[in-house]
Amino acid sequence: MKNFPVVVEGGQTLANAVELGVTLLGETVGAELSADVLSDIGRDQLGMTLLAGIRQELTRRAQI
Amino acid sequence: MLTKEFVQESVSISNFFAERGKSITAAPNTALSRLVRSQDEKLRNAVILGGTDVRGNPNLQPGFEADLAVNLLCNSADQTINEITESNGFMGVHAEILDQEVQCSKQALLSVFHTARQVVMPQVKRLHEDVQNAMENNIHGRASRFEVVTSGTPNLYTSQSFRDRIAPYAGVGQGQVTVFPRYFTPASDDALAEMVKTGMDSIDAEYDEALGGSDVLRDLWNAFFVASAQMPAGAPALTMAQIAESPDSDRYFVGLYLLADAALSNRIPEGVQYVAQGVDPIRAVSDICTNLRALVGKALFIRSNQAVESVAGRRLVIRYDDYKAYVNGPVYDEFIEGGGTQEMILGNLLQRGKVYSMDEMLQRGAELEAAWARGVAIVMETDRSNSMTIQRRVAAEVFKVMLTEIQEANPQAIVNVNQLTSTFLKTYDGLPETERRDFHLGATKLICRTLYTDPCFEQILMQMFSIKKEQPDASMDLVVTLAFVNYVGRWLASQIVTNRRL
Repeated sequence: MKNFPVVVEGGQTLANAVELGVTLLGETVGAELSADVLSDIGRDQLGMTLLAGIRQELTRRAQI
Repeated sequence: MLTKEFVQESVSISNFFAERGKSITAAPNTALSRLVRSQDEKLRNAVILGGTDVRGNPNLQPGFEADLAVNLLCNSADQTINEITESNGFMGVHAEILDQEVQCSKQALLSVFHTARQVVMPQVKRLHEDVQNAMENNIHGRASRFEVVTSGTPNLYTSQSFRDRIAPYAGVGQGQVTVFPRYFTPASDDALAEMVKTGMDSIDAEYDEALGGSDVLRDLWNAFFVASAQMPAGAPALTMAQIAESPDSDRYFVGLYLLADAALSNRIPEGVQYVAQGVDPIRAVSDICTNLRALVGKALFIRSNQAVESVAGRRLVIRYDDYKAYVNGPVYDEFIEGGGTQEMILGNLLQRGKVYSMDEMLQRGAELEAAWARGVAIVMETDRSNSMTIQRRVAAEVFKVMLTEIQEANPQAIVNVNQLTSTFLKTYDGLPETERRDFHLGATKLICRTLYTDPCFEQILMQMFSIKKEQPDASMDLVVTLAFVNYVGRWLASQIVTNRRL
């Protein structure tokens, strides 16, 4: 692995983003989100979906 | 709380970017940067210590560094979570900041999403539906004009005395009536009925039957013989095309012929005056009515011949025009009872070839029905091809109505209709054809780029359409939830920068 500290810093940033996103989505249940639907999706899947979306957006922006 | 799976995936993505020379960091002064900073010191120490200890060791197995990164991050997270001490209510620095940032951002995110769904989406729906309805009417407009018209042939057409009267016009060439003898004042119904009488009771009775009432002579007189300035209020402004296409065209043609003939013979009703300036009205009426009587007489001659042949040969179709098939009523009833259909007749109309007899039509039923199906599909496709030009105009009209409604609902709002409509049309012209045809997408862009210009509205609505397209059976709750998750993902991504620094 090249640039070990950089990978860790990036991983930290993304992990915190997921933590922020999942917590925020949990707080918005009932407002715009259906509790049943969110429960069906599950917390793990929710986090992975958020990460996939972030990765897609960063890849598009960085033109990788 | 973070799980090991999230951290593993995060490290994997970070490594993917690092291998391509890109670093991932939180943008300054964002919720994410404040959250990351709450872990930084502990993590930095851990990385330096861990990195110094392990990197450069020749005995390392492949993947070891990735595992190390994951462990460092998990331990760092655990340390912050472990700060929670319920007894004193302190959640720990990281957890406290996480809670603060969620509370601060939640309302703003919900507000944008709520506006997208409850304000922007209804406007998109309105534009889409109004334009679609107008387009449907247009696309189906021409196809729906095709019809079978049952008509009883006037007895007058087969009357020998009438046929003798119009026979001299058989040789008149094709032509259109473009000038009318509009030199008279209005006349009463009785005066007009008297004007066209021949004085021979049996013949006059045939004309009366063919005219079928006083309204025809009155409407024709007002439309084609009365000077424009004298035209009674409410009188229908007929044209030759209208009377030719009217279901009452036989009545109109007979009436027009009789009026022109009477005017030429100077049988002008009592009390009716000439109205003319700068011309000799009697001479003008004579010139114009000679032409008018000849052309209408020719049309009547053709119709009379068709009627005679129709009756003698029990012909089903009396005549076709561009969109209508005029059929002999009694023969048509027999045709339907024998298994015939309207589609067969219309198929024959579209073939523009031989007019078949009833028996031939029944024998060729399947072929004619197929011709109709093909023909009408082509007509609709042609109209659909032209529909984009019409859609642009219709969409702008609907949009202007919407702007007016917005202005009326919010009198304080300043709505520059011309400027917004100009932006609307420019946006329309920039839409790809797929989004004009699937106008749901087009309407979304049009509304979001003219009225609600924050890009997040368009992103949210387009995401919802995209989810619905990929999962047609998905419930609205699921679509909304997934779209909100996507929106939150974009919001998080907006707080991350990727730098080329490796």
